[in-house]
Amino acid sequence: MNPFLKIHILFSSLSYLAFVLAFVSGGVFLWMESRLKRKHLPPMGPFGWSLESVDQFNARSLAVGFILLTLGILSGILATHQRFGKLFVGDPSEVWTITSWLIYAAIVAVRGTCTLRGRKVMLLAILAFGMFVFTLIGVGSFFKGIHSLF
Amino acid sequence: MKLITVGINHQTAEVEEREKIFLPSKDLESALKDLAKTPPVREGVILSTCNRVEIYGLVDNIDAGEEQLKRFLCRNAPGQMERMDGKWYTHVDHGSVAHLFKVASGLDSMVLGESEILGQVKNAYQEAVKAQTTGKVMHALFQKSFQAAKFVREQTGIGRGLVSVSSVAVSLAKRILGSLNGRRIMVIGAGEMSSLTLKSLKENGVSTMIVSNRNYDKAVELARQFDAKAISFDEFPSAMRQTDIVISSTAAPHFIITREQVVHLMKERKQRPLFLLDIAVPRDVYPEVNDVDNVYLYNIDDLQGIVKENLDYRHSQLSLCHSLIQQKSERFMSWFHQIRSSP
Repeated sequence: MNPFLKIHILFSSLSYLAFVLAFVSGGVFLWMESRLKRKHLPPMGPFGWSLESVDQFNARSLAVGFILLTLGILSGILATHQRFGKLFVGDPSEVWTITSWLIYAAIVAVRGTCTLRGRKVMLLAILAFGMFVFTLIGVGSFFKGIHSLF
Repeated sequence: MKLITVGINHQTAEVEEREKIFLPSKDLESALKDLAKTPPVREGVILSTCNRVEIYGLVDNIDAGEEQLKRFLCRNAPGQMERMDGKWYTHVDHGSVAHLFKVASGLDSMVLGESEILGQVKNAYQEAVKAQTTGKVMHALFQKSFQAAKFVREQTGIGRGLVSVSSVAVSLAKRILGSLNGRRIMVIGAGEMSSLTLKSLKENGVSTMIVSNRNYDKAVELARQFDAKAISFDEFPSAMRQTDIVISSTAAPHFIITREQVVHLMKERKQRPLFLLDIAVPRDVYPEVNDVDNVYLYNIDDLQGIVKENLDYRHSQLSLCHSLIQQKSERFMSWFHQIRSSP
C-alpha cells in the first residue's frame, strides 16, 4: 500500500476519534449547562469533571482533531498525487472533507480567540460532527469516487 | 430486666428547656458514675447533644426506672422535671431499640439523614464504656445500632443530597468551576448570609476574596474577618472582570447588576464562566442575567429549592428506612428475650 495512504488512513481515523470525544463532551456540557440554567443541581460530569473541565476537554479534543484532520488531508493529497499524478481528482469526499475542515477551523478559531464559549460553541461542534460523519460515511455511500463504500 | 429510653429532643422541647438539662461532654463521665449508683439502673448510656438529652438504660423495673431516670436528668435543675411534663418521651424494650436505631441513622435529627449524630452516639457509648456503665446488653445494643445506621445509609438514599444553603452554594460552584483552589470571589454587601457562604467557600479552597459595600468601614470589617481585600462600592463592576464567584447581598431597593452590564462584562472576561449568587431580598441582580451565556445566577429561593428537592427525596426514603429498622430491631429483641429468659 502507498505509504502516504497508510498515514492518511491513520490520521483520518485518529481525527475521527478526537471529534467523537468532542461530540460526546459537547453533549455532556449541554446537558449539565441546561440543568444548571434551570436551577437543578446536576451530578458532576464523567470522572468527576465540572462544567469548565468538560469545556476544556472539548476544546482540546477539537484542537487535536483539527490538527489530525489537517495532517490526514495533507497525507491524502500526497497519496492522491502519488497514485494519480495530481493533487486533487475532484472526488466528492475531497470537497466535503475540505468543507468540514473549514468548519472545524472556524470553531477552533472562535474558541482560540474566546469570541465564543459554552453553549453556542458546543452546538457548533455537534453540528460539525454531524457534517463530518456525513463526509466519512454518507458521501462514500451516495457518491461515486475513490472513497465510495459501494 | 427491661430496656428503657427516657429523654427530650428538639421535637418535644424548646432549646431553653433542653439547655437546662444538657450535659457537656466534660461532665459525662462523672454523670455516668452517678447514674451507675442510681437504682434500679443496671446499665446506662447518656446521649446529650444540642438537639436531645436521653438516657438509654437497662432497668429492673420500668415505672421506677422511668421516674429515676427523669429525676437523674433534672438533678441539677430543680423543678424542671415537673415543668417538662408532657415534653418527656419514654420508650420500652422494642421501642427503645427502634428509637436508638432511628437516632443513629439520622432519622430523628433536625436535618433528616444527617450523619453527625452517628459520631455523637459513638462518643456517648465510648464515654459509658470508660465509666464502666455498660454491660453485655448495652454493648450489644450500641454495636448493633452502629451496624443498623451503616446498613440504612447504604441501602437507602437517606443521606443523599445537600441540605444546607451554604453547602448547596459550594456544590454549585464546584460543578461550574471545578476545584475552588485559587478561585477569586467577591462579596457585595456585608450581611450574615454573605459571611456564612463566604466561610463555606473559603473552607473549600477559595483564596482571593474581595469585599465591597456602600459603607466602606463595614467592608473593611468583613474583609478583616476573612483576610480579604476591601474595595469601595463604585469599584465592584470593574472588579467583576477578574472574579469567578460573586455573592450579592446588599440592602439596595433596586437591581444593582443589570443584563446589559453582564453582557458587556462577559466580553471583557472572554466568556470565562461566572457564578452569581444573589442572596439579597429584594434581589440585587436582574433575573434575565441568567440567560446570558456562561453566566449562572442563583437567588436564595433557587438554593432553597435545591435543598427542598433533596429533603423531599430523603423523606421519600423514610418508609424503607423504617422497615429496615423494624427488621433490625426485631432481630435484636429476639436475642434480648433469650438473654432475659436464660438463668
